[in-house]
Amino acid sequence: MQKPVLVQNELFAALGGTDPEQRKTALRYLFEDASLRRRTIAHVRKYGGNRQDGEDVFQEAIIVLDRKLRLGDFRGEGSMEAYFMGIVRWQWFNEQQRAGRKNTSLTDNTPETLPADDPELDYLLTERRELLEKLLHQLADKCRNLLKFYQLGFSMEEIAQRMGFANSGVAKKEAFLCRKRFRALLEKHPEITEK
Amino acid sequence: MKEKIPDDLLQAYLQGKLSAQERALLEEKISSDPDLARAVALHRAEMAASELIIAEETRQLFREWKKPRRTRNSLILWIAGLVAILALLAIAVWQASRPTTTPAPAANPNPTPTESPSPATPMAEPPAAQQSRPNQPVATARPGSSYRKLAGLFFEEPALSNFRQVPTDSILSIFSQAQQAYTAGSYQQTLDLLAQTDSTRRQSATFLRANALFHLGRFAAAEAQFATLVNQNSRQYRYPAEWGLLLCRLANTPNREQVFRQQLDAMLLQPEHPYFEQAKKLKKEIPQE
Repeated sequence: MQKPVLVQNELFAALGGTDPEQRKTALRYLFEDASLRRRTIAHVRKYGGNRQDGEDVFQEAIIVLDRKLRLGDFRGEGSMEAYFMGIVRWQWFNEQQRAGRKNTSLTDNTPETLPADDPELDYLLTERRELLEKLLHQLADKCRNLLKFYQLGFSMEEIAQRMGFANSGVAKKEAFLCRKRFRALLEKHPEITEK
Repeated sequence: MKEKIPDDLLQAYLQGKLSAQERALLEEKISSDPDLARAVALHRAEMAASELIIAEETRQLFREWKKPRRTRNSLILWIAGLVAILALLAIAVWQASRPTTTPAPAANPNPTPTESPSPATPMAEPPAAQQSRPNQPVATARPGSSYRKLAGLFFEEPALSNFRQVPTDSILSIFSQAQQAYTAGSYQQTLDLLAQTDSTRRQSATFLRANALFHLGRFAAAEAQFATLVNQNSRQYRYPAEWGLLLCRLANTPNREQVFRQQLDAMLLQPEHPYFEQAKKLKKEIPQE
């Protein structure tokens, strides 16, 4: 990384932690990494994309990296840059496949390590994503925030504090009702959960 | 559903946080229990939806961070444009403030309509020191900028009506065009046209050329032209040429300061000199040695 502001462990801790400001700082740190951006754009341009495609892939790769780091999929055995570029290759490859680009070379552009066994990621990249987004728009902001905090690993005490609930019991009840509501919506659309 | 699996366990399973043994055990139950498989699928969709919310929030952050980048880039471009405009304005102001502002033209003190070469006089010292750097741009002589300004203020435009009347032949028409170009402020064009005139109008051409060179800030070259007229003791142009010579030396001060002061002092010893009063005024304006 170019800027010696965050070492790798601090970056992981900030992304995986429950402090929104630290999380923002870490995301911004990645977003402003000129080296990663340049390498991403170079890769995309090399394989048929343009600069804007590269910018898009760069952003989406950060989102995937964030998720991977939060879930502990990256254990720091190699460099984070190499891991990130693996995501970039996979992301652009996937994008080209989805767009049906016939000139995609399976020999020189195929990522070395596809993120196997990552069904949630599959949701984020397929047409099911659009369906999910439609359902999410039927939820209130409060419910969406509850889902987000829950996914980010916030404790009920932290959720109560962030969302202004009286206590963790109220937060738990609200979270339960919100998830129940969302699952009811999902039940109405079995095409989302069926592969 | 044969067995109720806690949400936390499902979450841990879907996040890959179970041990291999725990994972294998749970997957066996999922494969044999369609309701449990359905619950896992719902939980997975819920997680994916939550990730979508997080991803959208992250994209929103990126968009916010991109704005200042774009704004900064736009600001840089805007500033660059402004600097360019200011530079152009500065050049325009500099051009406008060059020695073109003059007192009201005085009548030509020696309006003899004929030109005749005459012996050189010691008054006109050839600007030998300047010949080594002819046509030096005005802008490079920063220390003398105030002198140049002063020279510009005391500069007299030539009374063009006193030039010999223009016949209709083609060669003299060119001289007429040169006069018109000078009046229009096109000094370089004036020089170009004067280069085409014939020798019969040598002194008029020299005088007009000297004035044009003065306006172009080419004081060394202008001085040489005025000196030529002084040395020729031109009846028509001698005194205006002496005045022009003096102002060229003033404009080239400090390089020509010594000879300028000598000429000015000599002029102030001649009350009958047509430019005596102007020389006195000039003396008051320049700093004492």
